[in-house]
Amino acid sequence: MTKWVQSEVNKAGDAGQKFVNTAGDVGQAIIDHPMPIIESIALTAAIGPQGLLPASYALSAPVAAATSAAAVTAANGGDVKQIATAAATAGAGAEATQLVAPYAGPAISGAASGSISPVASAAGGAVGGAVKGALTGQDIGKEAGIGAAVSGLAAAGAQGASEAYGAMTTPTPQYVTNYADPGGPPIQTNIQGNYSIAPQSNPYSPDGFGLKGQPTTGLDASTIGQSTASETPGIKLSPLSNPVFTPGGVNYSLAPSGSGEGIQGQPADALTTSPQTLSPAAQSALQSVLGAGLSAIGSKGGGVGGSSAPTSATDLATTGTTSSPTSGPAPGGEVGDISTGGAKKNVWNLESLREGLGIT
Amino acid sequence: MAKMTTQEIIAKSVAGSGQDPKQVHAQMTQRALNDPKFRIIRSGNTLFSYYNQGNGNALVAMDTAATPRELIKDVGEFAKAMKVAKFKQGKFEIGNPQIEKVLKMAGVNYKLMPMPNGQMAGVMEF
Repeated sequence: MTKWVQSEVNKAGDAGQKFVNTAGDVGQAIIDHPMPIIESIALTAAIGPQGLLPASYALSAPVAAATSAAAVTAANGGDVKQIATAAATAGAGAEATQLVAPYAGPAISGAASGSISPVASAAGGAVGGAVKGALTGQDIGKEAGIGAAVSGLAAAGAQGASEAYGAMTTPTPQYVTNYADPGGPPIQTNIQGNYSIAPQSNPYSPDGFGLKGQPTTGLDASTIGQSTASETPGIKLSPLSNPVFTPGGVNYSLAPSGSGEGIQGQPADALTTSPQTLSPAAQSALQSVLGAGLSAIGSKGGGVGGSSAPTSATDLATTGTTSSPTSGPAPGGEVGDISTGGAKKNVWNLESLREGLGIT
Repeated sequence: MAKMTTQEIIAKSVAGSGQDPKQVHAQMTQRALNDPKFRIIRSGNTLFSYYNQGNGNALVAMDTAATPRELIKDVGEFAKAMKVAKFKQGKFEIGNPQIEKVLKMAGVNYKLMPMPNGQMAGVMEF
């Protein structure tokens, strides 16, 4: 340490020693109590490019002003927390402008005017991350980067929301027909609304509800008042459509059926499963295995319902085997791969056989 | 030069002085945490500790791990920061005459004054 004011710093000696002793370990004390530092760049943040900050470090004016003001307060005796929240490490805030740059995309078009750009917001937000890093003894740049990235994303989200809000609230000129001046130019209006008055179609009555009427006879002048009309004059009403009711995909048409029943239904999703069958080869193999197993059980004298359980490992080894064309009888529960001569595979044992046959 | 940690700066600064860098770090931290008049400003890889005497006056000490060229920049930044913080003068003991050259090259106004112990002190003008 150069001796500019060595004596002043040394005044902390006793207190520092006590502090260290209390902590028990100097290294731990350093970790537990990071040195509160004011970055010079925080103090001069408000100066901007004309001062210490190069253009690439420039913070937005509000952030820079807040940073600088807080740092000045800290430099003049503000408490430690103030140092932290102030920009104590706000140099990291400035650095974050660069750190965040790769994260921040281009300005969001359509964002409301005056909304903070992700980069500027990130730089300000980085102070929080940097402060956290400083207070926890972590790498300030890293923390600032994280804080800035999060802040930048938040700002981007805000801009996105702003954009969406703008789309909702910013009237888009509409042109409507001027009925007061047929043939004239349309009227421009900013009134937003759903001009369509067509009701949504009803899935159960595609053609709408109600009745439609038709004269029972033609209205030709030649037939009016003449007794030769084939039908009684009047109006014949009929439903607009036959309502369709299809809950669960079943069409319960209300239209009378030809056979006189009022309702006819046909499930639209009728089951069409077919019984599962084994291939001839599989059936043959299964019969072979089961046959061998059953004969083995029978040979033990118990048969179905009898005392057929094997009583030793030998029983297990000899029960239910199938012959191998190359190596003779295989151990219990194994079937040789006849086609390839490969390794034998366990396919069943006595227990599974009994369980499959329902033998207890 | 890459940005060092405060521990690294102090370690490099006190190297060869017989001081324990951890002890120095702990002392500075303790003082900064408990004495609102004692503050540490960092510029580059240089730590400027100062004691606020009031009326815009401060006693200044320095720990640096910077190269001479970097130190010139750091001192200049510190001087500007102190000016922003409304300080007017910073007194310091001259332990190394080279500091005068650094101050000159950094564009910091200063003057020399004798101290009671016979040493020379410098006064930076912010």
